[in-house]
Order: sequence, then C-alpha cells, then structure tokens
Amino acid sequence: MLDVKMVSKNYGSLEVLSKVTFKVKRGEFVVIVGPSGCGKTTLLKIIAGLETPTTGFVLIDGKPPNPRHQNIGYVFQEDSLFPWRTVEGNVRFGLEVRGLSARNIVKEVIALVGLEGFEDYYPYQLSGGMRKRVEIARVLSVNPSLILMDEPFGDLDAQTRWIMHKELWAIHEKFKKTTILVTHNVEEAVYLADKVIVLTKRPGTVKKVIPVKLQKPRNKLSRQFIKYRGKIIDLLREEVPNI
Amino acid sequence: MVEKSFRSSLRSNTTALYNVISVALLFLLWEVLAKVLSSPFFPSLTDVLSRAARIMVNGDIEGYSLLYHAFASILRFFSGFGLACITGFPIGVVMGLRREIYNALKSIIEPLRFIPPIAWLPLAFLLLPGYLRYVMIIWLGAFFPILLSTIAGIKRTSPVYIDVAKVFGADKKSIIFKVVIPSALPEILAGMRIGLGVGWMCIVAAEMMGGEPVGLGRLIIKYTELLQIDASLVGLFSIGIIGLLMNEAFLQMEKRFFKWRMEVKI
Repeated sequence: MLDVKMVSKNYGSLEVLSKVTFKVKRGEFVVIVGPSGCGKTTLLKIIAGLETPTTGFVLIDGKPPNPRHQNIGYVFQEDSLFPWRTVEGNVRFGLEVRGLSARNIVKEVIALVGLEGFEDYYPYQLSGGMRKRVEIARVLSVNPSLILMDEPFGDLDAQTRWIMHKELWAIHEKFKKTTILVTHNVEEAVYLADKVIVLTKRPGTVKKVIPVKLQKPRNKLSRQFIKYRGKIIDLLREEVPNI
Repeated sequence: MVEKSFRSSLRSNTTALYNVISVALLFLLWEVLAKVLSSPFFPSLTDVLSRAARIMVNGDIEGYSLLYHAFASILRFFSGFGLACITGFPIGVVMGLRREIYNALKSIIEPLRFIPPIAWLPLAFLLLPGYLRYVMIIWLGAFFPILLSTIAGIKRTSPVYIDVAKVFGADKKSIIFKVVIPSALPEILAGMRIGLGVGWMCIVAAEMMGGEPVGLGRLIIKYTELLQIDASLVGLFSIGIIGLLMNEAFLQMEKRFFKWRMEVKI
C-alpha cells in the first residue's frame, strides 16, 4: 500500500534523511523510532505530501502522495486543534473542506473516542488527553486510507498515555487502518506496532525493521514484551551511546 | 490584549465600592473647591450638570442641542471608522498573505503612518467639503492600526493549522477563510479597537478646527471662546463618556465573539 524508496532530504547542506526505504502493507500498524533529530517528522511530512524529498520517492497505492487526491489523516505533534472551533466544529472541519456534510459521521466519531457530551466545548476547556482524542476523531471523520501520527502522545502524562495506547489499539483493531506512528517511546512502539522501524541518527536511514510477533492487546509487563523493548533500546543505544 | 474591560474590573464588590467612593470624593472636592473659589473660570459640578441639561433642552447659543452635537460627532466618526475597517481589513489580509506586496510598499506605508492625522487637517479642509473632511481624518487615524494588526495577525497564523488544512486537501480559499482569517481575528479586532480610540481623538481635534457649527469638539471651542467654562466642560465630559461607552461596547462584542479565547481574559 505504501512504498518508500530511497528517500533523502536535504535542507541546504544539512542532510536530514538518507536513502530511507521501507514498505507498509494495508492494515498494518508501523511504528518508527529513532534518536531525536533523525528526521522522523520530515519523513512523515514527505509521506503526507506536505514536503517533497530531495531524491527518492513515495508511492501510496502506486501514486505519489497528494492530499488533494488521497485520503490521508495526520495527527500532528503540536496541539493542532483550531482553538476557535468547538469539538464538533473541529471534527467537522475535514468533511467541510471536502464539501461533505455528514452530521451523523461527526457524532459517530466523537462517540468513538468517548467524547459524547463535549461537542460544544472549546479546546481550551479540555484536558490534553481529550484534545488528542478530538484530533484522532477529526482524522477518522474522513475515513482515511492511511493515518500518520507524529508523536501524538508526547505531551501527555504517563497514565493518560497508557490509556491512549489502549484506545488507539482498539481503534486500529476495529477499522484496520494502515497507520504509521512516530515516537520516542519504545514501550509505545512495542505495544502498538506490527513492526517497528528503527532509524539511525541524522541523517536518518533505516537501521533495522523488527516485526513484533505478539498477540494484541499486549501485556506491557510480559517477559517477551520486555525482551522486544530491550532489543529496540539496545539498537537505539548504538546510535545515542549515553541513553 | 491584557487590557481589562472597565466593567469586569468593577465586577468585584470591593473595587466597585472603592470606585464609587473615589468618584464621590472627587465630586465633593470639586464642588467645595468651586464654592470656595467662586470664580467664573472654575465652575462647580452642579453648574456643569445644569448647563448640560440646558444645552440638552434649549440648545447652545446657536440653538443646536447637546444630542445633536453628539450625533454629528458619532456619525462622522463611524463613517470614517467604518471606511477604515472596510479598507484596512482586506488590504491587511492581502499584505499579510503576500509579504512581498507589503515590502514593496513599505517606504510608502511607514512614513505615512507616522504623520499624525491631525497634521492632515489643513489639507483636508482645503481639498474636501464639510462632512468628508472629518471622514478622511478619522480614516487616517484608524486605518493604520487596523492595517498593521491585520497584517501581523495573518502572518502569525500557526503553520501547523495550515498543515492540518492541507492534509485534508483544503484549497487556497478554504485555507484563507476557514483557517487564516479566523485565527487572526482576535488580533484584527484588537487593532480595530485601537483604531476606534485613535479615530475618536481625531474627530474631536478635527471638529475644533473645522468650520461646521456642530460636533462636540466645536461645542467646546464655541464656549471656551465665550469664556463659559461650564459649557465647554459639558462637551469635554460628553466626549469622555461616549468614548468609554464605545470602547466598552467593542470589548463586550469581542468577548462574545471570542468565547474560545476565554483562557486569555480580554
């Protein structure tokens, strides 16, 4: 479904990504981990078509990425809800932009992320976890074929993050949407991923692809889980010696 | 944007009480001082109030009532201010989106903006007939704050909001009307409120110099020339009160409009 081939990106003389190559199958949940500044965000933006690679290419179902023609959902690292719109207004945005009006879809996805009753709230009235749920609902509203998530839970406290992991797993289980999630958090990676892609330090390139062959939902305390975690942390340690 | 509304700062009971006391003390002091001095150049509060009532009912020496003066000033003001809004806002949006236009016109805009509107008065009186003179002066005073805050607000749109819209496949028009302008609106309205204040100052100065027989500025000059200080104070206070009320009305509108910004108390 997604084909990333020899993608490199330079900003002036700074090489951010170098010959990144990997494939993602339909319905797969892929997590990308890597040291800070290794170009993870840039890679996601290239896949979304928000940035163009210096060399190499990305194909989504055989076509180059273009948000006007493809149905991509993107959960940004920053708080990206429109503060002037209510929860409902935010979730409706994607449909509105595409000239669709589907009141019931909006209601449905808000319910799906457990925010019924909060439709008329403004983002500033919500907690961090609720805001992320709204962002996820906004992405789901347009029924995307590919979901990209850039450290979506980075700003949340550990407890909320655990809850969000479980919810995200359940959503993926239900809709089987192809998802690529970028994170620093190795535990998050092992919990959610069908396969984990480990990137090297800048310029980022694929260091290793690790399929996680554990039954979902996973037990974060099980021995195999911890083994996978250790393996990924070891790989990262080779890139950044002092972690 | 931290300017608190007059009313909300009066909300707490103790502050309200203190303000009532301070105003009452001022009035009392004024009244006593006026009675002690008993000079025609130092009218008492009661003199001013009774004078206000008389101008309201019987009109000034030329027969124009206080309400007529106020109405003339407000009409001129809103014409100029409205014109400044409907010119400053769209030009600001275009210049905010296309930095190069602003840059290309910078050496025209920047010096113009530092000419006090009042300095244009003689020219305005030479070139334009009655009502339009005032409109031009107020427009000059209100236009630049609106223009510049619109440009700044548009440029300050968070890039992530634009990326969100782009990923959903939004076209340029949706990005501008659904993302850029809404996100800049608080700053734009703040600029309008500044323009409101500047414009109101300009109208009074313009009326003082202008030839028209009506307007609050004119009222002040008319009576100061006759050395009737109580009557010129009537004009003075009317200007203050109307200015305060307009600013309050604008703040209330902003508040209603920007419920989503409640975390930043306006």
